[in-house]
Amino acid sequence: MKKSLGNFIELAIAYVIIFLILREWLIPVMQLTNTGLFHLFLVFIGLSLVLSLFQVHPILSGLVKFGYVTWFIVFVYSESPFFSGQTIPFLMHEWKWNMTAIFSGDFGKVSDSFRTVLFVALIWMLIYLIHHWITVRKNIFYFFALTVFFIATLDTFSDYDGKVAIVKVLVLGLIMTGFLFVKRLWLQTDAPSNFIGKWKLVIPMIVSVMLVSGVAFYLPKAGPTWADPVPFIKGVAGQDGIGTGEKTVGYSEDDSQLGGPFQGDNTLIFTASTRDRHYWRIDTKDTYTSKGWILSEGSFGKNVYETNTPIQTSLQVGSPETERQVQMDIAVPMPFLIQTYGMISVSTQDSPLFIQDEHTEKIAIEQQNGDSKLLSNYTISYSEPVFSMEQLQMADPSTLKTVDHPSFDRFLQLPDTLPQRVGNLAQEITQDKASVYDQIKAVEKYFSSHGFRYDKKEVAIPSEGQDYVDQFLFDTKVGYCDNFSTSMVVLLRSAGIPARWVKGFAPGNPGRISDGLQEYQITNDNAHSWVEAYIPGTGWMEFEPTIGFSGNVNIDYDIEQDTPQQEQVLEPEKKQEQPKKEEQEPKKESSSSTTFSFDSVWTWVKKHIYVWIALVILMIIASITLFMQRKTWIPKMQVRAFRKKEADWTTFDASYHVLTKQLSRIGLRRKDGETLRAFATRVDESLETEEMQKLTAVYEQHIYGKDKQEVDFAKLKESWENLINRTIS
Amino acid sequence: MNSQIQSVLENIEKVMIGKREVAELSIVALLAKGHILLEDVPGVGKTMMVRALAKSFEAQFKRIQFTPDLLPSDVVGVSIYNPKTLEFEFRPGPIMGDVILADEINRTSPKTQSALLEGMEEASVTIDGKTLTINQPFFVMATQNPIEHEGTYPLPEAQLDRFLLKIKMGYPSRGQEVEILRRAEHGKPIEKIEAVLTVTQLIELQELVQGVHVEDSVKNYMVELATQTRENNYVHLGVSPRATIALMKASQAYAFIKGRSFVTPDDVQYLAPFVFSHRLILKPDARYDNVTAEEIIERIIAKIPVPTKRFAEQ
Repeated sequence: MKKSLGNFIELAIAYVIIFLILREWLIPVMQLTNTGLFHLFLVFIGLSLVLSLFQVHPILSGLVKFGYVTWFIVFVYSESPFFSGQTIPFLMHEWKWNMTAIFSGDFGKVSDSFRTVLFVALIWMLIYLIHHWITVRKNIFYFFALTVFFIATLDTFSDYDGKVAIVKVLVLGLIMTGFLFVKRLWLQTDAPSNFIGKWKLVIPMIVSVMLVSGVAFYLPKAGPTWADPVPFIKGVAGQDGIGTGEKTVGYSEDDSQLGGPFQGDNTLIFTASTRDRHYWRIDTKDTYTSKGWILSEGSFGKNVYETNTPIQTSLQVGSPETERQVQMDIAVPMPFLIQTYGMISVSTQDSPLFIQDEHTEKIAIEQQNGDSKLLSNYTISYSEPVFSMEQLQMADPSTLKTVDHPSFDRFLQLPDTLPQRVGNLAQEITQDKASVYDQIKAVEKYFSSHGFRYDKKEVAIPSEGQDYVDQFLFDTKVGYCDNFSTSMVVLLRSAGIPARWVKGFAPGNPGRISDGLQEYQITNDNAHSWVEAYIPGTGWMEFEPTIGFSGNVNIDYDIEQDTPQQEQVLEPEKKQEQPKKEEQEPKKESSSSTTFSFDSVWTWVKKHIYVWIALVILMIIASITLFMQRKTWIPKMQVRAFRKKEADWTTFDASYHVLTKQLSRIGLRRKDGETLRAFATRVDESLETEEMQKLTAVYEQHIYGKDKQEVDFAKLKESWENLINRTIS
Repeated sequence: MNSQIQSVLENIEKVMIGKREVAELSIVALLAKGHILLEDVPGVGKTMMVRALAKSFEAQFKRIQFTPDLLPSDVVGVSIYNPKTLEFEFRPGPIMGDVILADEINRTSPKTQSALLEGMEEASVTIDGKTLTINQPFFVMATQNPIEHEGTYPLPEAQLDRFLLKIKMGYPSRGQEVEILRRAEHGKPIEKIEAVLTVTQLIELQELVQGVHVEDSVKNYMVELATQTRENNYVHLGVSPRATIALMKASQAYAFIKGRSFVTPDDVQYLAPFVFSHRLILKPDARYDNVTAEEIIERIIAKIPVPTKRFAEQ
């Protein structure tokens, strides 16, 4: 009685731990599938475990579980209460419906209730397996390892946060493994079942597991050594990286919280075939919050354009003689236009509407019925504006006072919390400049000296009460485009120059050239932000403060006869920028050329990438399992194979070698200088048989002897199978 | 195990207690038509062993006690003038026996030693220009006292090569020695031994031994072992091809007494130390490192892969 009570308590504890581990399995499944029947499933698990614990007769236990599941289904999916006349018809109907769906192969039609039943059946099986693992094999390690793998995978690849779950599972799993190990030890030593003795082993184990995990949990931890694999996998998979995942680079809608490191992501967004290099403009933001950018309040109009009709923007357009086309092939279609500077009109096959938001200058693409539309290719007609240097120089700082129209207020907005030293710096940079253009250029150039550095990783996030621009300008001086462009806008506004923050993509990586058109490939890595500033008399003009990027403005210097040195000054500047550009890009060129040759294959693979990844993972797991279990299944296969073969010397020879190989797998390896007989003696001692010596005596005769004697192969085969079976058990 | 050999062994065990290995090896040498060099102190039962062996197959047993003044003619025999017949009459020496115990062979002069050794190798002796063949079976067990060195003439290496095996007898264990006393208490057990084999039968057995099969893979293995002794760092001079032949012959005999019709690497491994150890000339380094010839052979055996497939398949 005492013994069975002890066993019962042990099993009960094991089941409680299993219940808790299964709960950790269930949570992410529920969370990710939005199933929302968590407690009902949990009750089922608990019920199964309790029934199994009290060793209820299988039929009774099955009936109870079945009853619970029926109640569950009716409770959840039927509108009428369980004990009403509707229950049975409801169940019948469900059964009929689902069976029809299944037999007609239309799995999409299967109802939720049936899916629930299947899921419950899965849990049922799992619990039966676990029961087997605990009571018969006394080893739960595979289950434990799988749970950890499961949670880690979900944590990595989904929204589920397994931070706490994994700690819980590890602690519980370690305790469980240790607990079962003690049980196994006890069995192996044939010691009498001693409840207290076992607990003397178990309790220190539990204490040490708790202690170690407690210490591990509360110790400070270094950041991950490996980069987050998700952007890479998504990149390979060609999934939309835009707007997802806070830490990946790319065009995103929300800019209210800037700062922090960026992960690279070379997902191709679009390919543009064009003669010129373009900055790809998407939209602008006007209100700086000291942390990032939002939109100002107020009502703004919307303009609707059709294809092939001129689109009006606040930007300048070049002369009609220089009109050219850029062909856009969008890999990841988005419901808005990617604009170029000097854009005149857009043409595409369908005839969507282009809805221009005056607030942001973003141009949404809509169908005639008002739904948003994704275009995968269109052609932009543009003529790049040429700015006259003379005209630019004409606008001296005093002309800024003429720009006092209220519509410009939003481009001069600054947060009240902006530290004074930012304004002072703006003053300092711009004070001696003769024209607004020179002032802007001075601010733009300010970043290329003064110790600023371009970096995507070591970028700070402003703490509470800290200003994003202030932090960058005076403290960190390390950042990427957002830091540079935002800072420039804030400095310009501080100096009284209207400016706005522009988002889009940098020109991208030049690829192959065909028909005189350069192909540019724009990936998520090219997502960029820059500055547009308003110059009285000229209008809006783009500027590029970010180190390592070069702007794309055409300036006409032809009037500058009296200052010829200026041209010389500007010339080397351009040359300096040129190599930088090249440095950035050659690496990517090679990759783009290889993708080109395997284009069709690659797109096909890309399409099915998740299937491939899943297949590869499955295969890896399968091969690992097969490899780990090779001691067991290889000999079994061989026994089967040899049974079919004719009993002769050749078969005997082969089977003997198979046997020695199997023996070496279980650690009985013949040394080089060891004779077969010595080896056989050793094997027999270790396996407590005499079969190996019998087999070896015959084998010796086979390989060293001259005349073959009559041998009873059937008997030998029996010995051989016995030995093989010994090695498995 | 071969039944005839079994009975010979049982006979020997009547007088020799706990010396089965030595008895077996003696029979190996006898069947392989080789000779044995026994290196041991006096009184451990060498004579008893040889006599029991000789008696088991009705063979003539002779013993020569080697002394510094022993002459070759004392070994091989001498022609003496007979005044009655007016002729020289040949008196065969002790070497003309079937089973000979040559005691303390290293005490006599090299000249006498070589007379014995020539007889052993050629199975014939030359006296007065006449060559006399020694009858088969012819089996010499020579002993050598390893303790005393003064006034001895150690056998040169070339001579040692003529012994098929070199074995050591060793002291019996405590229990075995008690058993020896118990048996010696009442008379001499040696006199109770009866012949179990005739000389003709023995010669037949010797013929059978030659028919024991040595697979090419096993021959190869023997050669590999011999080659390794020649390439060993501790060895000044490795074993000769004669030694390899000796190893094969001994292995055949050993396989035969174990009742097998073929030689296995086990036989080779077991016999290699007995066949090779006295044929190796070690470098002084071996002595400094305290390595014996037996240890070197053991190391070689452990290193060389045993053939485990038919020769053609390798």
